Amino acid sequence: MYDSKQIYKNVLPKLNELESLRVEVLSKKSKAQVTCAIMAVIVLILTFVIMSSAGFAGIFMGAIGAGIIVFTYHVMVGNHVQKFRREYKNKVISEIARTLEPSMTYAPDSGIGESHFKEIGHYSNRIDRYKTEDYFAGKLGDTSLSFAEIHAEYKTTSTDGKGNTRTTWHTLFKGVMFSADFHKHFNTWVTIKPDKESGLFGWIGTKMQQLSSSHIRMEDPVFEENFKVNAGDDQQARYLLTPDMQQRLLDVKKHYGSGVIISFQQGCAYLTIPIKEDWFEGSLNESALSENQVSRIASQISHFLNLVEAMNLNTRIWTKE
Amino acid sequence: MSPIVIIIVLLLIYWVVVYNSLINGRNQIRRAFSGIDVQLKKRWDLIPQLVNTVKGYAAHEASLFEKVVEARTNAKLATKSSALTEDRLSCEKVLTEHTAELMAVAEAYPELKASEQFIMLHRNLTEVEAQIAASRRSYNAYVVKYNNAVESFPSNIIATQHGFKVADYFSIELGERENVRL
Repeated sequence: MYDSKQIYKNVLPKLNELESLRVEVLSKKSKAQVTCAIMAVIVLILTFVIMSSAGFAGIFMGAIGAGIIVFTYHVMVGNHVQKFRREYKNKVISEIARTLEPSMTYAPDSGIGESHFKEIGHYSNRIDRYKTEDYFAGKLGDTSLSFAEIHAEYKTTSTDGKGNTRTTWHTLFKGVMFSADFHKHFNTWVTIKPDKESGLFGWIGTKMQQLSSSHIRMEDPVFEENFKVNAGDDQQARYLLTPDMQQRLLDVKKHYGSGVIISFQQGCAYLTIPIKEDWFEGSLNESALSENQVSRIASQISHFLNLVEAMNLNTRIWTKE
Repeated sequence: MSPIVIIIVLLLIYWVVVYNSLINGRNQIRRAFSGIDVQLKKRWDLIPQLVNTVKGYAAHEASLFEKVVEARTNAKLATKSSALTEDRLSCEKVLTEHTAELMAVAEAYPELKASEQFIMLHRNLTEVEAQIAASRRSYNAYVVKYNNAVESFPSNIIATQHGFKVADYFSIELGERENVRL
């Protein structure tokens, strides 16, 4: 458990700097809005004038005018908003992370590579667009860990009767991928996914799962109702998924959402946790001095640090130190 | 093709499938049992080292050392019958109890607890016991699957015809002592 008052006290000098920057950005934003509103009125009048004399050319001019307005707004505001967000991350979020755990490093522009995300195999679909940011890494007790935000998407293309092609983007995964050094030696792979088949198709779904040669049926009926387990080796999977670990993973599902996928491979535990909102962001619309905002971000970071305790990864009683 | 021929062909196919799955189930149980065997042998190898290490600090516990060594010898002798016999299970159980006793004695000697060699042996023993527990659960999971096939209708007809018998569960806890902490 962390002390939110202490965290706030630590970041307060930086929050004062950022509050001045935020006020400045908001003032630029208001000026840009007024400028753009005046430009919009002028463009609208010009469009009507030209339309009345030259017809279609008026619409063309209106479109160009709209483009110029958007560009102007972006030049006047966009970079400053970006600057505020970057400063907030570099100064405040990195300090919050360090206060929570001194070994933590934070790289807002880094993330987890697409190839690594694909390699862990939690999602089998193709990836057409991939974004990652907010990379945290450190060591909690004996456990090295890292996590980052990821948004992976794939696209589908459809063509209507007139030959028009339409591309739709679908989210494959949006959330945080967490990885930590596992406390036992193993040389197999184990994936633990939500048991959707049994929920949807009941007994038939369960039987379908059992057709897979890698499917493993665990002894705990509650765990079996919630997850389906596949592994390269039955005995090693049970070595990792002790009754205690099964109970812990049920608790992880309860606290981190039903979409969480867990795997054990290459000596590490990997979790992909779907999250709809963008986490680890400073808001321009909220005072930088807000204690709530600092507390919210601290809670977001500790949400993942708590996984080490939730999965008992710091218990090092086996041969792996 | 007449319906009777089709039924006979389907029955033959079913017979072959069930027979092969029973063979497969029996082999999985044997493989899982050999997994337990390997881990139990690893534990036997660790015990003499553990006894020697504890002896260096608690020499007056001679009777306990004798009991542990004797239990280990009995457990090794019981493996001459490779099957899962009551005798073998009870020998392993006695060895588990005496090993736990030995570890409890060791807990009372801070210098011993802090020694590198003891820490390493303790970690190894904990790991082997966790592996034994996992192998036992794996073995029992295969037994459940196999026994269901042997006892359920109509596969039980084929099982009886070919002499497949219900397998025994590994019912004794041999691994993972509670509250193991260094």
